[in-house]
Amino acid sequence: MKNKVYIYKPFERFWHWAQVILIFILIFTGFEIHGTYEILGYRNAVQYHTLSGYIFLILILFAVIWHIITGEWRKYLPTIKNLKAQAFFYLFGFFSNQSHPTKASVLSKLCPFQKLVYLVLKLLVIPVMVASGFLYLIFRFPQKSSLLGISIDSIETIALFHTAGAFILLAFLIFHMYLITTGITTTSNLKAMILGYEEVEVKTVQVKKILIEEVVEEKSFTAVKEEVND
Amino acid sequence: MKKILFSLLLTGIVVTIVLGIYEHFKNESYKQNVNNLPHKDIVINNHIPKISCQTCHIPGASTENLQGQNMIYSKENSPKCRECHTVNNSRLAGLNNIYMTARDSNKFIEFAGVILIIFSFIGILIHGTMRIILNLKKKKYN
Repeated sequence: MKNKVYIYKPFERFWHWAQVILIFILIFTGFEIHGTYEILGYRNAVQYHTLSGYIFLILILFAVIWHIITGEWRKYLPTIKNLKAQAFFYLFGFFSNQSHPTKASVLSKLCPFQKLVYLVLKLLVIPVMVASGFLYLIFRFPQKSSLLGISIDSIETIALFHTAGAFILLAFLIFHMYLITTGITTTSNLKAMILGYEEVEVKTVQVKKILIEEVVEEKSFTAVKEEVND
Repeated sequence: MKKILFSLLLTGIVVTIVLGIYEHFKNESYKQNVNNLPHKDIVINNHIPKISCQTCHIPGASTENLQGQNMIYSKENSPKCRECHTVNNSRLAGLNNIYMTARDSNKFIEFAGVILIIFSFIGILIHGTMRIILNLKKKKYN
């Protein structure tokens, strides 16, 4: 029996797909500015890169506020529980038709691996990229007064951080796009991110059990218990 | 009360961002001086927040590559971005004490980055082919 489980809220889906568009534009124009290829022209590439950088900053601010207000940031707190089981699943269990050790639901949409990766991504890679990007943008040569901009001597360090971060983000994107296909069916993860629902192959009781176990952690057990009794 | 405070905070952030972007692109005094230049479109449209006149019109740039020129261009001959921002034959190749985008890069980061990307592709290719093969086998047995 298959059950539909609500996983991604509307804002999360909007946030995700806006990020998809922006990061693709940023990487495409970024590597053109870097000199890897010549398609749009240097000037256009710089202008699109700058504009999408500003939009990305606004999007980040909204996302941060949303995460704080709704308390969703707790979903990213790392757990060592199940991490080992999951590593074994992706390396070996995948091929012997085992079921995934952790199941996605609205209450815990991220598995331990995802938590770890997204935590590093959101606390390290993205902030470094945004900070170095905007420092890159405001530097002025030569430095007339200390408030006008960043000194020309520091631009190399800033640029190298930005480049290294770009490579790491690109590698992340490659894995991320591959991992789309590792859902219950090949397209179920993609559907979940577009529609918000995922088809989970468990019985209703099991779904409720999973929900209860997680709700206990959230300390609102009684409400769900009543629901189940009904 | 919470809602009011939150909306105030949100408005403050939005206003700050909008004003910051406006100030960043405005730079009025610069534009007035630059309006008389033949290559004003380059300076105003793209370079103004980042690079001032001295970036191009400095001794270090003209001694090696542009002997005898004062680096003042007609509108038609004004330099394009890629004349400087390129690895080979950059106009500012002599200006080697600064980092310039697209002209300079760190060899280690380039190498490590390309290796990282290649290994990512190899990794997902191996994992993906193994999945496909094992799925086919399963179907056979079923």
